[in-house]
Amino acid sequence: MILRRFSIPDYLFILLLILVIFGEVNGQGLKDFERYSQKYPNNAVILTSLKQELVIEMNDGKPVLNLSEYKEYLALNDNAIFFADSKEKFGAIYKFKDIEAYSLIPAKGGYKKIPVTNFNKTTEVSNALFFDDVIDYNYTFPSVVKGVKMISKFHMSSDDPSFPHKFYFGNYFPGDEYIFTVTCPKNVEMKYKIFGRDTSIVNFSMLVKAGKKIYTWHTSNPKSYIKDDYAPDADYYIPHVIVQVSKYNYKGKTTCINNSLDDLYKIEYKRISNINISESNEIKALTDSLTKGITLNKEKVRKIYSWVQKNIKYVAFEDGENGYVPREASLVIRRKYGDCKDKTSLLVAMLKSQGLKASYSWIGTRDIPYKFSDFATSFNFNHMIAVWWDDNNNSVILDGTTHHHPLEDIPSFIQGKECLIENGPDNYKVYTIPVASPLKNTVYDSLTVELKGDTLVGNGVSIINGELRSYMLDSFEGKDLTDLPGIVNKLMPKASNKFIIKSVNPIVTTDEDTILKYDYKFYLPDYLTTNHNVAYLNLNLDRFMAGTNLKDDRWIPVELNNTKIHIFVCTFKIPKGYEVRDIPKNSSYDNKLFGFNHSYKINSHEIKVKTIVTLNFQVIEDNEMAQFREMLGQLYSNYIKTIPIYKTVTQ
Amino acid sequence: MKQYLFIAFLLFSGFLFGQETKYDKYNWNTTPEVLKNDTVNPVNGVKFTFERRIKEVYLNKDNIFEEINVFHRRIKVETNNAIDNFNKIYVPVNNVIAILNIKARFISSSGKITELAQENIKEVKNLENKGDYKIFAIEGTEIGGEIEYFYTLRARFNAFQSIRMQGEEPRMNVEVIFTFPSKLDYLIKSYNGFPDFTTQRDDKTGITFMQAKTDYIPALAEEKYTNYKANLMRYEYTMAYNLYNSVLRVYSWSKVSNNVYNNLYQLSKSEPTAINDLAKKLEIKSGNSEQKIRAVENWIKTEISISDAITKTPALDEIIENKQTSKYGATRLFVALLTNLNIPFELVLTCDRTERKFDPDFNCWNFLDDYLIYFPEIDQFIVPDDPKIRLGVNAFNYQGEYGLFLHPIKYNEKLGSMAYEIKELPVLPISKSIDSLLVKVTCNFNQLKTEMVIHREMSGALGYSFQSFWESIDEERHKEMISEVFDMGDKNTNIQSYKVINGSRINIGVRPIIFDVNLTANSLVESAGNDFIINIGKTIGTQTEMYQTSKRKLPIDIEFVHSFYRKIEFNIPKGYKVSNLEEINMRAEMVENEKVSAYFKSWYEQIGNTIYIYSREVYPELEYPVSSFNEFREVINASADFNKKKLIITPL
Repeated sequence: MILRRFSIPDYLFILLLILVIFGEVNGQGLKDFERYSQKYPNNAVILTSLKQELVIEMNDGKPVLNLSEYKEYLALNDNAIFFADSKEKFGAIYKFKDIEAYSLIPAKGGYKKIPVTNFNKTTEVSNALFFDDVIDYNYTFPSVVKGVKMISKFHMSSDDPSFPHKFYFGNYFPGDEYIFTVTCPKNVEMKYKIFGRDTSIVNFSMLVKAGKKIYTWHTSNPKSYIKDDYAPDADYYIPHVIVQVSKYNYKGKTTCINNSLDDLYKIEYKRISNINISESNEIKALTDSLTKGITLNKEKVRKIYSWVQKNIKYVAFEDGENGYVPREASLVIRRKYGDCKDKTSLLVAMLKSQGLKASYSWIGTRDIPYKFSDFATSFNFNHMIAVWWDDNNNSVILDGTTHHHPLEDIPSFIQGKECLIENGPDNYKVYTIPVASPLKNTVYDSLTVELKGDTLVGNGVSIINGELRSYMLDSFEGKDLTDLPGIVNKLMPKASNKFIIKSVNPIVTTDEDTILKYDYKFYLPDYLTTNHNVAYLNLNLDRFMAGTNLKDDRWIPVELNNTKIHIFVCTFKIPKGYEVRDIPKNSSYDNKLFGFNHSYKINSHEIKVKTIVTLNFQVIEDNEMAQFREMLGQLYSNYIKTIPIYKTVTQ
Repeated sequence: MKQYLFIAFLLFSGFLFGQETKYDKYNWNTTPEVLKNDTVNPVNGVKFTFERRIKEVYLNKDNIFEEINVFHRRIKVETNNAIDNFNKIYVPVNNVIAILNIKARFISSSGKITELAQENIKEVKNLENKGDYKIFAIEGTEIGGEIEYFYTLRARFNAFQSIRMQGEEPRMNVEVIFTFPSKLDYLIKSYNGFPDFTTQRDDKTGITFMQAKTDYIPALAEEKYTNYKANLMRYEYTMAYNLYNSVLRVYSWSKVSNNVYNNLYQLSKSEPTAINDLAKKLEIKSGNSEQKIRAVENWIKTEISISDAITKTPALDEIIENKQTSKYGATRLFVALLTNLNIPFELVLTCDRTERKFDPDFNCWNFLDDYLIYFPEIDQFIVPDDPKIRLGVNAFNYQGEYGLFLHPIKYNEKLGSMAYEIKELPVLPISKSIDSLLVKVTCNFNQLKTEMVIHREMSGALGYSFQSFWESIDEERHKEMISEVFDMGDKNTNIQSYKVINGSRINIGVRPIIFDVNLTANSLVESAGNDFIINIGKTIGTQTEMYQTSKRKLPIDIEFVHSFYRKIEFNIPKGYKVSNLEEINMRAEMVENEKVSAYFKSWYEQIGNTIYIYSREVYPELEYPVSSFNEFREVINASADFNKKKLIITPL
């Protein structure tokens, strides 16, 4: 689903910077060390300084970008050797110029400098990609013992002023000093915006000196940023700034680069304007045969969309500028593979071949917190989808990278996001993809349980739609029936890992887009606790969200992959000769973003427990997160209520 | 490491000029395939319907050995996931002189063929430090068809190699061909059920042709408690004789000795002074051998950065001066310092037993992957190039593995060599790796919460797994780790306070790491009408289980011998009694050779209102045959069952 990654900087925790004259040999070394040790008593390594300078200069009447970084780490104990191995990444946008790294080892009266002598160049391919043009420079700092400073510097440059740049004021390690400066001639205008949480810690100033504008952001951030369970992408919370050249004036003429969304659209539109100029006969023949006999446009679209989902494999080649340009539809159909752009290219061509109106659209997956309407930058998107304009001219989203999502279901990883829909050279539309109702992702799991000796045995039925359905269909594909119990147990775990599923029987229907349904048989030994005349049974065999513990000091927001409703029903047949005298109280929690309803029902021959948990949000933080924690606590305390079942006196 | 031992093997001989090769023009139909056995079921939607590997060794124009390598595979894909997993092909081209051919195609079930266009083959430079690759994606794929590709590479000569022939998917029609001039001789050995090679010598052409063939190799899935990779079918080959040169055996253990002596023990001009100075500086002349070894190891592994990024090994004086070295350089530095300090040791060459088992009956260089240093006085070894580990825990992936043990023999001041012996590396005694856990449990029935005071000590290999990194990570991550290690179920455990002693690397193998933790658990007490259920078993944390009953295929390996001791102390609240204590008594044991081997047992005692629950879980042997699996499983599952034990608390 990745359209392309932008230049170097958006790698989490790998942060970049400037050259500053550094007192390499001074008597401050030990004092520095003591000061930092006191300030950061529990760290093996800290980032003492990260400085980055972006210098914009005019070259041949065009702005060019030079980026330099200075980064300094300090080892605070003798267990820091893990951090000796280091690397810097360079992408296709900024051209790599030079890199230097060295250790400063405390010596009499100052430091002794020992340079890194080997930089091992490697290509790294991230999981989602097949081919990538990112180059790593791997190296190792010499002698990383207590008191040693590890310093790295590099330069790179770009002749293309249209790419924005990102600087983070936070890191995996506590950062004592962050300085980011942008220097540009007066005739160049910059745009910038700060994102993330805790942005108030960042100080900003702008001054004009010797005919140049100098923007400076600086801060100290002792926080150590690590990912937590259910955490959104770090861009949601690490404070960072995005800067880009908005326009420049040369010899009286003003050129806009990234001044507004119009400018961004122009750049991106250009990349798609030259593809699929002529119609492909092969594509026409295919879509004719697919839509033969279908009259409703919507059904034609459904057929075409489903064909692309099923027949075009996802393979992503990231290769410089090509990373932004979709390939010809005729090539994609011959290869039968492509990335998101290629699949979009094919979808658009297929729809158009049937006279349906279709467009390309740029979008950011939910990893990206920015909005086109808020700050127009190419950091807004990393993905491409197709749009079909239906008979009422409404936009219908088609994401060719999905496998099983029906036309009506937009994948959760782009829900709530703005997309920029192409509509000719001068027109575009910004459309916000709605967040699906929890009902769209309903999981219903119902068990009927009885006792055989001390073992629980029973049948279950599961009915699943939405995201989990798609995921399960992927997992079921090509598996033997004997493999299914293991898969179901893994994806729908129960309260005991001794819950053994004997068989799973999928209920097959011919309609591909229908809900997933299967029933299963199980047994569960060593779950019931018995004592003389009493058996103790906890009927909450499914404890949805039980493993979610949001610590009291958590500040990182909570993200859900998708909204959902989870329904669990367990019906227990009371064995002959036993009676239940009391059942736990019903309880519920209700809030517009989340809630649950937990209820028991009893009659002479059975007890039924029903849990409905509704989660209707994407990201929450602060107060809402506190309420969510409270709800989870209540839900959990319901889960640990056990029912005593008594032998009746006559037995 | 091998590159230092094994200098390129060049041949010098006067009369042969560039032998003809047979397979350089290999194509789809060079050797017609007779495909048998189409009754095999795919696994995860995949089966390899054909696989052929050819290696042809020959002399090039300059009278240097080279090889032609052909790799040809056909894969039937029956699901979308199968296509996704197999449509991206990586061809390693390190050590390749010329790529003679790369071809790929897709054959649909209806017989439609889509050929790969050559321009769609891309080059990747040094992919994740594994060398250069040619990569491409298969075009035109659809369910039910076959992906087929082959490549022919002209490569630099490889005198020995290990090749795995089995994986998670079934393979059919597998053939390995190995040809070479009959003036050479090779040893080839098949393992784990791969068929043996047959040999034919053609006196007319002077070419030897070896071949191994099988219609079917079953799929092998990963299993718990085993060295999966080491159990896959494979073969090993090594050049043994080169009659162009001499009648003596080549690539044998005795040949290694000279190389090791020259490269590892011999010092260059500038090195001895640097080593002398360093030895003096370290001031470790006093103490017993163990203390000296530890001092040397701590100094090297703390002060010097040992790096994969350093490709050329610096001289020892440079290593000491610049505080950085390659892995090989670290071994040389150890050898020089230990020699200088007169600490008796043997150098060991062996391989990781989780990857392959060293075969003591196969005299070759194949298993000589890694260097270890063995100290006979204390019967322990160290890994010289791994900064995370220390003397005293015997890295588990080498324990019990055979190795080539070398010690120097001096003929005179200048002339020396190494004597060798094949021996087993020591297994760390079970008494060294103990995890003891003491828990005091106090229940609050009103809030359904449990307070726990925990004292836990982990020694040896168990402690090492924390000590190797504990002081490298900061407080935030410490909290996270503690929460994970002391999770009493459902992650519903809140750590109130914790203290960790002996967490740093210098304690590895010397002192146990100690955790003192106070926590509150929400998952332990359940209300049940007027009664309460205490999930007492959860205090030991979730245990590995093997409840699923699919047929076991692979032998058992438990990484390192170790044991657990646990004591849970629980005060019965006033006005209540425990009514099912006898539940606590458990025993599961496996008997090997009429002796109790691994076991789990638990028992209790009640003193006044306090209940003490004990359990002991012991794994005294590294390996068991697959036939012992059911008994082993019972021991593993016993602790997982104990984890489910509940006490019923009822009002008096």
